Amino acid sequence: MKRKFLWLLLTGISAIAIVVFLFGTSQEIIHHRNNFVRRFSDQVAQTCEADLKFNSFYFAGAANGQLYLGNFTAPLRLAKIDTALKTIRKQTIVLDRLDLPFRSVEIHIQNSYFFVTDGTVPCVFRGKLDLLKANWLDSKLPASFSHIQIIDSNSAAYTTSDRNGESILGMTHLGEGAGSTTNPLLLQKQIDGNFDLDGTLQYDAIAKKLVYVYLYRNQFIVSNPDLSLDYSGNTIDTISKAQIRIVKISSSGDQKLAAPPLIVNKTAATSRGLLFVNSALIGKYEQEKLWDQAKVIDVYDLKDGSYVASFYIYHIGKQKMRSFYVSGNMVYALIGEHIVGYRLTPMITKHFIKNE
Amino acid sequence: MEKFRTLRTITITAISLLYVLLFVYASMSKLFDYENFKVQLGQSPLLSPMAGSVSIAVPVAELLIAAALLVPVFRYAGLLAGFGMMTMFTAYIYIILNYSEFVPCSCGGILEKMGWQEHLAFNIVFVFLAAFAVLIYPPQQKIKES
Repeated sequence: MKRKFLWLLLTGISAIAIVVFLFGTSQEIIHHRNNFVRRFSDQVAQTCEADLKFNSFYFAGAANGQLYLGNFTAPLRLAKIDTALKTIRKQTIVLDRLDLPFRSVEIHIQNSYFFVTDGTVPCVFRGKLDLLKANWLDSKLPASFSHIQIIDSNSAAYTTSDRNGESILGMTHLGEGAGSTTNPLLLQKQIDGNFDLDGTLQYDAIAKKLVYVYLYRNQFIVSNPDLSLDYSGNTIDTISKAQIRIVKISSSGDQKLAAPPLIVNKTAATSRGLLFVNSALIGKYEQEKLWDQAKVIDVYDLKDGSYVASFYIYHIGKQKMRSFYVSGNMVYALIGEHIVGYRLTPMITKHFIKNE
Repeated sequence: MEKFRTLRTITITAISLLYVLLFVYASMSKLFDYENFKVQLGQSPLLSPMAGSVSIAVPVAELLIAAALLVPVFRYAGLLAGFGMMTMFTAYIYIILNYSEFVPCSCGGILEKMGWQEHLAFNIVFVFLAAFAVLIYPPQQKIKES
């Protein structure tokens, strides 16, 4: 009898120990060395939607409880929509110079300011959001830039190219006489230093971090506003090396992609210390049919680059999400002519940096 | 005394057969819907990174235990193993309910009608049944089928 008790005790304890051990290791694996298993936060659900009538909108930013949308086909139009997506108001902005060869105008909202930029000119305008009039800033800008992010009312970061045509990160203090700087060491070349470095740049004004997410590999670079490296993190998929093939067209000297590239991270957004990435790759143990109906956003904590959770943004008919924006506890996505709002769950929002 | 022996044999046999029923049913419902089971384990807050190996190991172990319970020579070992298995399931549910960041919405194929709390109670009953059978098991393999 006594021996049997001992046996039961031993079996029971080892059974519990095994489960606790499995739990501990799986927590560690998921958050810090994820082997591409997503954890979906099921309750992230759509709460609002609006028909914008056009599919040419993009997110310009948010301020004072309003979302701002720019329009690629009407560059000086700014649409303002409340966070419940109920009322849309359209406004027109005024620039003090129209003599520049504008080709890709973008509007960016930063607190009570708005910025109008065109990396092909290059130029940056700044104006007060309530006045809707922007003035050209005589700044030290590179010959061309892209992915510009406004850091504060006086500085902006962007990607540009160095003498060899390779992509580098740069930043400029806006306004006359102010300087600019680049950091050629932030982006790590793998193949040609141009195509393989493609990605998106985000600035998190609360965490005060710039985040560059590579398009073709599972990596993102977190840096301070002065372009000093904080750390480089990994997204949960396994594509550590860009899978692109480049050919040089001998007649023109152009470089082109020889085959469709393997896209890893399509678009991204940051908000209050969290990084949101729209991944293009299906993880382990996921239902393939859901990937025909939705896009997946993975969330990372910028504090240490650890993985938090994932959620779906569903297609509307055949139209898929083309960009998204995080504001408050909501994620907004542009899908075709629609804008939709999804409410985030505590599983994600508890990782936000608390507002003071 | 003879009456006690018979009662004891009947109790042990009944508990063993109950276990056989449960494990065969549970493992079969997992294996018949294996893809679904693997996906659900992949979403488990506790085992997702090991879903591949666990999704094989669990139904195989359940079938082995069920087989052991059917052979008199291995019945004692089978009861002990069944006890261990159910303790693991119970610990798993307990951790999910109390320590996990979220409770997944579907509970892995078997007995889907049950809620997590009921599942926990159900498991605890089975744990006690197995423990009881082990404790009253006659020393050595003296149970004869006669």
